[in-house]
Amino acid sequence: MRTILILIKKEFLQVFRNPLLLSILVVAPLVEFMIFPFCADYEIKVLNIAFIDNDRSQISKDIIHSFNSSDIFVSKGLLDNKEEADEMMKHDKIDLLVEIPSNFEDRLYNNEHTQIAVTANAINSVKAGIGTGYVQEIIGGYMQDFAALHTPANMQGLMSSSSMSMMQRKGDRKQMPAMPSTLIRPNTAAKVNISNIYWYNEQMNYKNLIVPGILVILVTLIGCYVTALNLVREKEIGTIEQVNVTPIRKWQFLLGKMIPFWLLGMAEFGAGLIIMKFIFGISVQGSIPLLLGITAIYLFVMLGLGFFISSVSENQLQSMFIVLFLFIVFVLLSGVFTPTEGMPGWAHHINYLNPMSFYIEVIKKIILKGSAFESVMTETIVLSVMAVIINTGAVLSYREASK
Amino acid sequence: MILKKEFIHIFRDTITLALVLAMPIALVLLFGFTISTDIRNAKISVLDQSKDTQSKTLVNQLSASGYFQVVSYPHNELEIDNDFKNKGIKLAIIIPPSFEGNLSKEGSATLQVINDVSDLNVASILNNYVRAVVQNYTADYNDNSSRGSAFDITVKMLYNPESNSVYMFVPGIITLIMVLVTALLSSITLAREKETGTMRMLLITPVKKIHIIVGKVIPYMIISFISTIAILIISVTVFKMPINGSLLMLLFLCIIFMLTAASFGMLISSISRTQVDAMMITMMGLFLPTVLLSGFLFPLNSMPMVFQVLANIFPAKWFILAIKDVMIKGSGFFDIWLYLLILFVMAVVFIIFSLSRLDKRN
Repeated sequence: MRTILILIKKEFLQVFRNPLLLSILVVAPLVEFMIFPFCADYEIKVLNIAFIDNDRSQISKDIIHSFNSSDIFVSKGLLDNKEEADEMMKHDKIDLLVEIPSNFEDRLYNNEHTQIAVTANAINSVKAGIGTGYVQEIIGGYMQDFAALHTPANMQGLMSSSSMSMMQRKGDRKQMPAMPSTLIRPNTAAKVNISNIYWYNEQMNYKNLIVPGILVILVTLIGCYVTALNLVREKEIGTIEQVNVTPIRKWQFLLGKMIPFWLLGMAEFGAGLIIMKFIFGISVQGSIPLLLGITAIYLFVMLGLGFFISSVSENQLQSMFIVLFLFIVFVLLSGVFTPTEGMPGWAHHINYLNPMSFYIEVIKKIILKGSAFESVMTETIVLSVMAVIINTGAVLSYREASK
Repeated sequence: MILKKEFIHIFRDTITLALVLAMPIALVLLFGFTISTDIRNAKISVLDQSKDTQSKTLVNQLSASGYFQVVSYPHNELEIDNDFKNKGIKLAIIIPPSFEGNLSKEGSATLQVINDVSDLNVASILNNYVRAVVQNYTADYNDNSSRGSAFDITVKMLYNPESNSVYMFVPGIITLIMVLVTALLSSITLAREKETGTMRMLLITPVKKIHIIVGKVIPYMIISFISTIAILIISVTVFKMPINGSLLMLLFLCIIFMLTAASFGMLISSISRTQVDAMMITMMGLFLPTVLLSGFLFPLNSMPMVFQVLANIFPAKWFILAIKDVMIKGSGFFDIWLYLLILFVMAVVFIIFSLSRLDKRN
């Protein structure tokens, strides 16, 4: 025991002697943790839109005007021609273009076929899909209101539907032009409204998922990375030979190296939970001791992995690239940033080997849904098994390497 | 001289060389196939309170779309809650009573869509799918019942007609891998000389400092360049990314970006003492900012203003803008010269800074 304590002391001395490393290990992750959740937001909040109005009638003006009532569209104004629009789209000045054809109003009143063209910059296909959907809703809503105004029988239906519809804002109806009722009325198209109901996260706080996710990334970074380089560094500068000739047992040596970083990781995780509560207002719904217990196991998996890599590689550059590779794979497959639902089957199979995806599951369940031990039992068992296997592997390969 | 020395170092360590060359390719292949915000066959429940022809048509269209898979037909909201918790559904749809009647008589009907917003991203993606399916359904209905209005809206998806999410993610993945590999390699190389003490020896030789730095960085840039070309070949052949601009322009852009990334690596190594320092700074300073602030996964203009400004100081943002322009929009030099200039100026600033740090050491 005393041997281990001395080793732990040595390791801490090394960390504290290097103020730069200390600040990278302690300060940087916490600062990043406070900042980055604000960036990780998939929601499309701004869509730049421009219009070409070849009709310049009352209706076309009203349609363009009706986009003002939506918070998401930022109008870049009326453009003169298609070339100007193409140029703007090429330079990412606009995401969407709405073109109203000439004689739009006349044709509408004469019940002749006419169409509005919407062009979207579809490099970001999600954004384009959402954008064109909103445009269709706004124009469709306007046209329906317009048509309904000329069909008294439909007024009733309109009233009840527009109060339910999400996108159809109150402002729309106010801007409806007062048309003389003698005009020929266009046909009415039926419309299905969608009313959204939100469960399990009523405040719609997108940070709920991403905040714990980023915390996990940072804890993993500390756990796996530092240890992966630690042992191989001793190898590279030759001090490992000195350790090997002392009567220290291999597992004592590894434990002595692990515990300091394990403590560091736990402290970081604790600090992360506090930040989560006070800055992001997310408090742990489930039991905190349970959460800490599973985190402890998870950190042992990551530390063990780091040591395993460290003992099989020849120099820091090698172990760094192996860790980097695994780290990127772990993060991007774990579903922190992109939904795992969209991944093909074989990616799900790889995920069975990914400790981070199990841990993320635990975090989600305990922090967000307040699940008890029973519902995270599978993950806990898997992580424990992983911890045992990987640490045994690390001791064995280190023993092999130092022969 | 230095160049030769560095090449000897590199080729002596064949395992590392193999890792460095193989890793980017493996990553691009892996993520090209897995990273996507498309969701297929999401499990949903449908509570159909009207059970008429139209509601059944709608349900059929939902499952035929490929986005959804109807796994249960609950009878009340309580059962929906149960489905969310035990059957793993992501969304529930409630079709109101007399759906068909409302549609034909009043011309409108309202669907209720219940989202599980504990994962807001999935919820918002699925909502868009629902909206698209319902829009198609309504259009069909209007056609069949000949209630169609005199006007319709045509939608054109410019640059990416099939709405392929690869267009969005592959440039991001290329950037992420290029920046990490190049910056890591170059930051480690100087830090290693420092750690093992050989930097002193290099500095007392009559070689100029700038030559040391250039000589040390060029070999790694060449390695990165080889893997970049491999990545580009994979993107085109496997993921069907177009190269609409000129290939020369694209390669030139990549070289400039590698220069920026490598000089960023030099900057890191000039402030770190050991390889561990260098690597941790690279990871903390590059990995998360590149993922989060480059516009690769998260739309930049949805972020708070501070971060939109902050994003400008990371090279990745400019490179992603430029590479998308060249590959997808087919832009030429005059369209992207500003991005190139920004990347180049960044590289110069980084190099000057790391040279001055090297001076102070002595």
